[in-house]
Amino acid sequence: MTEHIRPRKKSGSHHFLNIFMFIAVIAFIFPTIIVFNISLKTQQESILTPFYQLPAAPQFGNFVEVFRQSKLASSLLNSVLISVCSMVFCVVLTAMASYIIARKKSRFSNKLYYYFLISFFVPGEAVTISVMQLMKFYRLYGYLPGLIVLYAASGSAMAIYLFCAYIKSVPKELDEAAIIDGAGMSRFFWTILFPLMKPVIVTYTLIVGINIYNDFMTPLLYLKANSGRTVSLEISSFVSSFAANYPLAFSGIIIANVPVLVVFFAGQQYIISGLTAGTVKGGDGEPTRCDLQEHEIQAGRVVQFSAILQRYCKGDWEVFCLKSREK
Amino acid sequence: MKKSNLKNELDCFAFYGPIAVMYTMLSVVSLVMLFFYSFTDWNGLTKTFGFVGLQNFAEILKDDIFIIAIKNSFLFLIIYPVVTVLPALILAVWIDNMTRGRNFAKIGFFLPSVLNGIAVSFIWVYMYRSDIGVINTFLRAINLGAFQVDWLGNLNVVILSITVVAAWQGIGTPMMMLLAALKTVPKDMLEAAEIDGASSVQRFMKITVPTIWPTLNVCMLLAVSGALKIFIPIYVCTGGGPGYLTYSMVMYIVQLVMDSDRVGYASAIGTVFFIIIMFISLLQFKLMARKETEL
Repeated sequence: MTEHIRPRKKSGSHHFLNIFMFIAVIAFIFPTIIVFNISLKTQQESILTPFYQLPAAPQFGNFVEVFRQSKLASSLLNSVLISVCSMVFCVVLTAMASYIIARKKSRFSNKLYYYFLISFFVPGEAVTISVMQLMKFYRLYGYLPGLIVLYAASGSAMAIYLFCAYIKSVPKELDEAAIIDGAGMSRFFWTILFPLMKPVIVTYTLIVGINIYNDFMTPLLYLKANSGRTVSLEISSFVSSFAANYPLAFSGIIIANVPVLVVFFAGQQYIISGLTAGTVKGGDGEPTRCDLQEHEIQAGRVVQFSAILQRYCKGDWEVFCLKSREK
Repeated sequence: MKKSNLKNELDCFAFYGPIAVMYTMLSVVSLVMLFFYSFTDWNGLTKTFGFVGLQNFAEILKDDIFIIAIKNSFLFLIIYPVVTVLPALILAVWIDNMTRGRNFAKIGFFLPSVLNGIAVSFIWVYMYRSDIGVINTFLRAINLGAFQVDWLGNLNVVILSITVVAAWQGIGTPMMMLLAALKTVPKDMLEAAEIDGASSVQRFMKITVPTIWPTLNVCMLLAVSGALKIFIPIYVCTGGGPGYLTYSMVMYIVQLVMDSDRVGYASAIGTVFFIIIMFISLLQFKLMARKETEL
């Protein structure tokens, strides 16, 4: 199964493949390279010289100027705060609920599980109109904290699904030992179980947190013009006001992507393993429970919907229906 | 006994209550209200409204913008999976066969997926500009100036241009998933087949593809739902214009939610979108599942 067993052709063709791939990667990320080049030009240069020409004198001042001419700083702070707060809020609350559901502490545990799964089936875009009316009704429309509540609520289904699967893999003996030692439910959860859930929480937080930071539609719909902006909104407004000033717009774009790139490179292992770990485990080609989680985690809500469909096909659905009929 | 049960339930409620209430109040109620509103003529402002039965749905059939939106969405549905899953598969196989620099290639192709969608779309607007845009400048530089196109203005190519923007960001995830799946292909079987004289195409079709089929299946499902939800590239690149000609269903829903006071009609559109996604996913699912059993 190891790598070197695979039959290799002449090493020459492999060098060729490697070099060709290097060129392909550069071509693929070429747009980002251009952005760096243009962000260092003057406005005149950006229009008069072609994209591949290097700036005569790098204008690092653009990166300062963009902060002065837009509200990029405050919108960056808003976005980071919203992503962090909604993740903390969502993870803490759903982890608590998952403990009750996965360990069947309550009579309603099973029902709750399937109740939370309902929103797997609903594409977020379809319900925006009624969510809008609800947000207005709850007086959350137009406030930045309102977004946190919305993100926490809409991310809860996936979180509960993932966390439950994870908690089920934690040996039950741990619970019993804790009870014998006299720890109550909340003591056991906060001191033992919650710290144990770190891997799944980190993976979920990184992937969904990046999505929230990059989200555009939610702030576009549920924020008012005067209620503060997220970074996506700010970019979309300053690119139109800097329409002719590409260096400034691109400097802003680079700065806006810095937080997400830092998180990505710091948590790369977690993110990539979150996308792929399950696929490797199901070596026999049969998607396992793990597969479903990983597929679900990575692409938002309709993804989960499709994963549920997959279970439906695998016969899991019948189990689901039977179970709900039993109740 | 009963008392301790009640106490247990109360303790439990303290754990699941907060998120259950939030989830109910926003996600579940919004879904119920969507169906409810779609049968009314509510304008979102007045306290009263009337029930109009299926009138909203009848109106949708006569709505020109909706027809355009659904046509474009289906174009995305056809193009997007082809320009994401197929290159992702080729890249995954290629990277899997590389001897050096795998990580570089993996990160390189995955990088756009984590960038901000608005920023990416704006970069591509610059790429597509007909005068100083990168693509046309490049074409001029290699003496292919005749192939210059106004990538976002020409109605024949604009849908393709928008799809490319979405695909640039959408290729990384299926590639990663397929790469992981390729690791599960049984190497001894590949060797045995090679000794028996199977060509590389035969080995790929008969051994590799069946092994990674479930992952490929999921990638296709993701691509199809992703195609139906393309929004940011349209919003930034064309704004739906000229006129309404590049509207997609999601774009139309967003526009209705933002500008319109016709909550009832917008809800009906939302309901139809919901049903369409549901239907397509189920259909595709059935088709793919059947193929899987044949293999």
